[in-house]
Amino acid sequence: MTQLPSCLSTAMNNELQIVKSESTSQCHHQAAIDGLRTALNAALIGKSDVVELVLACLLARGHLLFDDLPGLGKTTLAKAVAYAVGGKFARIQCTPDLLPGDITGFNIFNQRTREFEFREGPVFSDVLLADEINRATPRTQSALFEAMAERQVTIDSATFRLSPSFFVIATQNPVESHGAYPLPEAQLDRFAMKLRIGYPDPQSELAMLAANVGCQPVTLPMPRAVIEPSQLQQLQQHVSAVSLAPCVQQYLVDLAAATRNRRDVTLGLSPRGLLIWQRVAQAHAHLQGRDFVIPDDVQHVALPVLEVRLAGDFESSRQVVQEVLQSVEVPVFTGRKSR
Amino acid sequence: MTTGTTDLGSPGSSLVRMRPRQGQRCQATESGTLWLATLASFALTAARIESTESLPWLLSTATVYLCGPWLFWLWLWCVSPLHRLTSSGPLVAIVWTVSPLLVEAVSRRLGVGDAPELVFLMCLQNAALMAAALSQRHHWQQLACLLSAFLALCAVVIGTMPKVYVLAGLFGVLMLWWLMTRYWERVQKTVAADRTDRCLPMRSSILLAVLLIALVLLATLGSTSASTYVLRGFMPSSGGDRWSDQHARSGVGDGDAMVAAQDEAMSFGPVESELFLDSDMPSLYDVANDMYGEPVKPLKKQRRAIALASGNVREPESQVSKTERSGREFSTVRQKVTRPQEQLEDRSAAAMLYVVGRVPMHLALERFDLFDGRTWDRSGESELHPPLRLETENGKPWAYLQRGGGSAILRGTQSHALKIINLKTNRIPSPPHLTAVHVDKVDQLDFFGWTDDSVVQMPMQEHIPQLTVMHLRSQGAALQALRDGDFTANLPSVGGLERPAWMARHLILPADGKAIHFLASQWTRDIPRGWRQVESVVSRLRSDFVLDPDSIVPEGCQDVVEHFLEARRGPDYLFATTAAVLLRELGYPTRLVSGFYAREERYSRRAGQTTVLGQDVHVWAEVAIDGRTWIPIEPTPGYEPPREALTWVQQFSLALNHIRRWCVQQAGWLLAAAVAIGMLWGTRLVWLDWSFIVLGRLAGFGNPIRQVLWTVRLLEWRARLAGYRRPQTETISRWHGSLLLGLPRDVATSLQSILRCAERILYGLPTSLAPEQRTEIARTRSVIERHVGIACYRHALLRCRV
Repeated sequence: MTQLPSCLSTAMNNELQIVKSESTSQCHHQAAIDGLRTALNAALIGKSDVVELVLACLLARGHLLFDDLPGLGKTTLAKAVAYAVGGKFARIQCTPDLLPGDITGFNIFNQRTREFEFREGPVFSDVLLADEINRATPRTQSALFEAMAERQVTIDSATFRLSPSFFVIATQNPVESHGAYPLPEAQLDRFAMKLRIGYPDPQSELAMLAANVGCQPVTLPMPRAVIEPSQLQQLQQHVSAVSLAPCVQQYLVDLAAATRNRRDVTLGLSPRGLLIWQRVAQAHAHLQGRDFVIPDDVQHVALPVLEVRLAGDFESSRQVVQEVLQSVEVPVFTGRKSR
Repeated sequence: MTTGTTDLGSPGSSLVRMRPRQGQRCQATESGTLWLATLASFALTAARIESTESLPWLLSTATVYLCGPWLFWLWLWCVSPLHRLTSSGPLVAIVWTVSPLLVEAVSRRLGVGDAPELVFLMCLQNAALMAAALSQRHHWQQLACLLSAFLALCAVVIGTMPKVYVLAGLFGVLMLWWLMTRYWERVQKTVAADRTDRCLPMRSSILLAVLLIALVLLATLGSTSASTYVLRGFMPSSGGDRWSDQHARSGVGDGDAMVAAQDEAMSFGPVESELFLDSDMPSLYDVANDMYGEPVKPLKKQRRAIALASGNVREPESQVSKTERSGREFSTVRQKVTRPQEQLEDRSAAAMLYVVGRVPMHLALERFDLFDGRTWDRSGESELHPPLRLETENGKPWAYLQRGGGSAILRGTQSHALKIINLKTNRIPSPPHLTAVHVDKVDQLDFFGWTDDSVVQMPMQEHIPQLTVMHLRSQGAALQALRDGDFTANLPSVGGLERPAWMARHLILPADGKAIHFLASQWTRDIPRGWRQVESVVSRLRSDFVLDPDSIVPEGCQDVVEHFLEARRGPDYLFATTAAVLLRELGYPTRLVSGFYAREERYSRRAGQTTVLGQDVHVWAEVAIDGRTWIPIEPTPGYEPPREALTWVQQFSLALNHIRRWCVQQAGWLLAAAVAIGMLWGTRLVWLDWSFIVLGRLAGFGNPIRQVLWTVRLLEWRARLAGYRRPQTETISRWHGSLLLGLPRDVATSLQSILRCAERILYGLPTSLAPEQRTEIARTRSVIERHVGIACYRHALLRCRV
């Protein structure tokens, strides 16, 4: 398979920039999207590509996992997202002694009323920031399964609905760090994507330093809420209506099959992961100003979507994803005829 | 095949690791299946060659039948397994399977055809090949293997040539490998998937067994006539009692092949034909006279004689019959023979003999050593021959003649079979350098012997019985060894007086011909003494003289050679005579040989043999290179010289020489073709680009959506021509968008616009285009046609490389 030349990647980025500037005046949610984009770019300087993917994840109603070294801005970006989306915000600082009840909530006996009453945990919020999630024990991490997948929690036989726009942003340190537990595959599959932020470029670092002069660390500016949770739900509903040609859906299915047919991948893409991939591709297409998904969208979001959920005996998941993409034919002229 | 590492201690984890790869294709077994089918197809083609009427037709159809599935397989290998056309595999297989029937229907109208059973086997072959081409699915693979095995079996049954068995052996080896591969593949999957596979599919096995039993019962319990009546409609075959096929390979009952024997006498066996019983068997003398005309009786000359006393005159002990006497000589002065066309046709029916084996070939029957200027005669002095030796090989008695066995220049062994039909002689028609003779069940040495003119005969027979099949082994002469030196040095003192009698006989010249001497020395001037001189004389005769069977020597002519040299035309015996006389003049012992020339044109591919007719009587000469070995020479144009024994290197250089000569002859055309091809190649990008633009314009005429798509196709085509072909896993906007960096602003906008438009058409919801959009598309397309050329892609390629 031909490796994509580096100049092509550059050209691709440039082209995307041009495409991005395409007028999308038809979409009345564009202002909200632009507001979110500006807010996040202000919080994390020089990482517009990460911001785009965060937005895509948000619009696809997926949960987000940041995985990177300490100090690269994971929590800053997560908090920025949480503030920008508005609504009720909750935060858990995960530690080894954190209990499931500390996340979901628990029943407590009220001496005065002589009854058990339910104390809501942090999951009863619109945006939940689980900081350093892999420092909690697997037992505690599992408390998030139901909440993330079904947006509800069941405590003592009683089921409680969570906010419709419930959105988990988790950060984790690389597993090799001391005192970290690996996230179980079942939980990883519930995240829409895993993002790495990476070091900023020198210009961005300069800008960051300049912006920090004269500021108290405790009073770092956090964006105001750009949209309301209800508006986010409308936006998510709108994005889910972005159309996919059958050939593009077939392309997704072929790619999923390709992940499952690899010898070095023990856990291929699940149907849930496939659904999430489609939603993220739809969101990406919408962010690019299109009302239909093209194979470029699928390819563009492939790495963060697949990286979080593929498991096996491989060194680099980036390499695996690249090989998967290069093993499936992109529908071009065949797609139209089959429609 | 890798099985991975299986940790027996923790089966769960190993199972996860060794999860079967359901969708993955194994190229080894797939191509192995195709090779199986290909080998079986080769075996069938080899069997077909034995009975074909037209070899080019057979080879071309076989090539097409073979290449189609291979190309289809390669195509399937290249495209995704989910390509929509892969689902049409069964349809393609069916069409390919029945195609031999259609081809046969057409080819029979053109006069060539195959036997029905071969046509059905070709259908089977095509089914096997196409199933093998579709072997990415496992059930097709199994079907292909089964069909191939059946095909190979059929080919072995119907084929008789050894190469069929060799191919079948190869097939067996490959089949073994294939089965092993499949077995391990299966074991791997079974272990990996933690499931048990039944090796034998129970349901289908039971069904198959029941069907087989029913068929056997039908064949055995049902009356023979009824079952054959039932089966006749399903199993068309050769022969039969009411219907026959002219393309049948062989016949049963009164099939065509047997019927033909009454007209053409091509088959042997217990046939109730009176063809041979009625035919008169000509003697050698008759055959020569029929061909060349009756010899002219020499004018009686009155000579002065001294009367002898009656006691000194010895009466001959026995009366020499005219025929026998006539058979001992060969007159070169003959009457003109008229050959009406009807007679020729009649004669063509009466085959003298059939030759199985490589032709053209000279078959010697008589040799003459004395020449008096008009007539060749035999001196009757026999040469010394080593004793015959009988050896049994594979239970068959072979009479070894040992003649020439010691000569260093005789190499290799050629085998021929002769079927004597209509020849009244006890002499065995002998190829040059005959070494061994085998006649079935004749294991007595005294059945064979030498005549006084060094021809092998069956002395106890008046003539060789009809329908006798004789197997002959002979050797070829490596003339290159002769050319390198002077072979006459081996001869006992060429110019001396003490030359042996045999040599003296073969050097006798009819008269003191100065003209002959002059001509011989002129033709061999500057040529070193030896075989090159012989070849020079032969080649001069072949090139400067014309074969004319009707040009005869006048009755009164006393020196036919002189006459021939003046007339520069004549029948073959005059060529041979002249060659012999010229060579004798040069001091090479030479003799005249008469016999048959088995012509290549008379080879019947179907019968696998060459017919030798009465008019194939031929005369040539032989030159002695030592006391025992005589090398035949062919001075008559139109007759192939006896084949040399060549080494591989010599054959290769000969072929190279042929090619070189052909190239020199066709130099003009070749040069023109090379220039044309060079120009086409040099300008290929231009005209390929133009052609595609024209094609795109035609295809997109009046339809803007098609215009957009054909513009994208044009971009793809140009990228391909520039060597920057888009990989199938890359998207169009990503690949062609890489050009945006190096393009002027307006062209980049046009390119971007057309790509975006194409994306909407290809992946978006169906939309209709406004008139202004149509105009814009037309403009964009023309911008791209003009400005986004092959050079842009080349620059992009260069940028990537840098």
